[in-house]
Amino acid sequence: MKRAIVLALVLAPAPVLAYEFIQRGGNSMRWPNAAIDYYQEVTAAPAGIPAVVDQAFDTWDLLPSITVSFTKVGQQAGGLNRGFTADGVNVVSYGDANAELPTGVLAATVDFDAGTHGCPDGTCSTITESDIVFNDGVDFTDSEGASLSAGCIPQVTGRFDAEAVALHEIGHLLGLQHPAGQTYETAIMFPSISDCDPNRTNPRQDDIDGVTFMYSSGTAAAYPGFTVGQPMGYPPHTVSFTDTSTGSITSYDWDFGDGGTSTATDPTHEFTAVGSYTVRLTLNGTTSSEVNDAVVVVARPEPDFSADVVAGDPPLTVNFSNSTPNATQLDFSWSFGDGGTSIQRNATHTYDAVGYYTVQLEADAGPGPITMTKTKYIKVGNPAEETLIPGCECRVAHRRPSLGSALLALAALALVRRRR
Amino acid sequence: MRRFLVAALLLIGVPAAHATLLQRFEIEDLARHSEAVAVVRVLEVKAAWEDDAMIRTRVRLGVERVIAGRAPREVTVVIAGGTVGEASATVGGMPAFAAGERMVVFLEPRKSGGMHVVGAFQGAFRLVTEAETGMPLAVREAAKGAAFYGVEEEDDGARSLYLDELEARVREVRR
Repeated sequence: MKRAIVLALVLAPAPVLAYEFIQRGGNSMRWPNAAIDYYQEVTAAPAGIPAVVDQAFDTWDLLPSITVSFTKVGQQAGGLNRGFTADGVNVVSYGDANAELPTGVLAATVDFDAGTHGCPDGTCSTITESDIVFNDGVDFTDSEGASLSAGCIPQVTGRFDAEAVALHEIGHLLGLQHPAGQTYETAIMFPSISDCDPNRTNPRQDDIDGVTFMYSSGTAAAYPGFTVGQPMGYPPHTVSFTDTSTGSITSYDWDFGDGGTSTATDPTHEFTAVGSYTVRLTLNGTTSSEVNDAVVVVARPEPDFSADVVAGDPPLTVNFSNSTPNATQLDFSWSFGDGGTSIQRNATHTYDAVGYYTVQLEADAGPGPITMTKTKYIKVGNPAEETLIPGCECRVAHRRPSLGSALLALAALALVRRRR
Repeated sequence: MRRFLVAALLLIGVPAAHATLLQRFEIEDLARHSEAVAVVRVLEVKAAWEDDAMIRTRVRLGVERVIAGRAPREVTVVIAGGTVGEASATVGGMPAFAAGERMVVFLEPRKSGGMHVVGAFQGAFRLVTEAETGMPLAVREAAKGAAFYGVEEEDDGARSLYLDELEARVREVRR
């Protein structure tokens, strides 16, 4: 049956496998037993990192679709071989007593192989031991999101995420190789791990498919996934989440990152406070998908402005001063009322025609514009007045008399009186 | 001792694979981390079981010209893995050398003797002559069994550039 599946994959029109296995003599390498013991040799381990590595083992371990499980047998400093020593013990070590790892190598895994002995159907090659070495010259203190908060510039921090590295290396320990392509989204075993991938510490569907193919428990794998309806907004911000998970699912547990939770399939949640929220969906109590910054709620802008002059004869040049708080973090759009616009923070505009002009300033912190409107804020020349007539939904335009027209009227009045 | 270890390995198995996670280095990064950058000729490539039950390959390099830093006339690069008889130990992402080839290598000291190539395969370029122009090209082939961390786009690590450009970029960093 396995042979048939392999053939189907190879001969299928889509030429690229989304997962691949480490090969030995033309056979895929795999563990013969379900239980894999490992040690941590922590002589040169940075503080806190062994616990993160344990967490990565747990992440693989908790996949319900596979039979393989990991047991940590011990953690010690000294008494175990560091590096890639064939001693029958699976060891994760930090630094390398034999200095095998040059600068630039973050970590490496070596699987030891005993040929096809112990392989159930003779088509695999048995892994008898696997050692993982982290380079002790590397700073592995980058927790999830640290590089993201630095603007998502890869390696900007010069630090690396130990959990992402461990998850990738444990994938090799299980027999997974770097795939040549991807079916769904970037897998943890993909040849490039992005600092900017907020979900880089979770096995993806391609990874899970790979290990499930090799170590299937007979339980259909559940793959968590969801989309966020409105990822950004002003408080209170209501967000709808749509489940895109696949596989056999018996329960949903949503954690919205602000203390709120839900067990609905497609929940809606209101975020009341400004912040960046990591949302996690756990399926069947075990398999999780977490998205950092899944929802970002930003403070509502309060746009405001003034002008150095609000009235005058044409051409009238007006300098508008933007007094919106936190203006450097916002995008602006001006509308000057005569068809003119600007996206400058502070704007200058010249009015050529007589009239009243309503000025608008839009401020956008990301989710959308908030508008401040000042009606008939600028008066150029002597425009026609508009008067509201009580009881009438209409306006009457009239001109305020100028000095010349008033003098003319007085002269006409005097002439009429003299004729009388 | 060595004989015992080799016998033990036959029982346990031989190291076969080999997956390495790398920090991506461009020429400037390689230069920054190197003790020496040199044009070399590969004199000898020899793999052997060593006392700690690991196959290593020792590569003797004759230094023809130093581009930056200091290097003796001959250096030995030590690489984890190699092939001894039918036993093969491959550590992903390690540089490959063949006797007689001319190369540019970025070297750093190895704690327990010999030299490392900085950035694993990234710090070793074969020198070939471009057919059209007759100019020397430094060529690096795609990584085998290695992945990059902190890289947005897909990158197999292959690079090709004129030796002149490579030297200029090294000197820009190391002047």
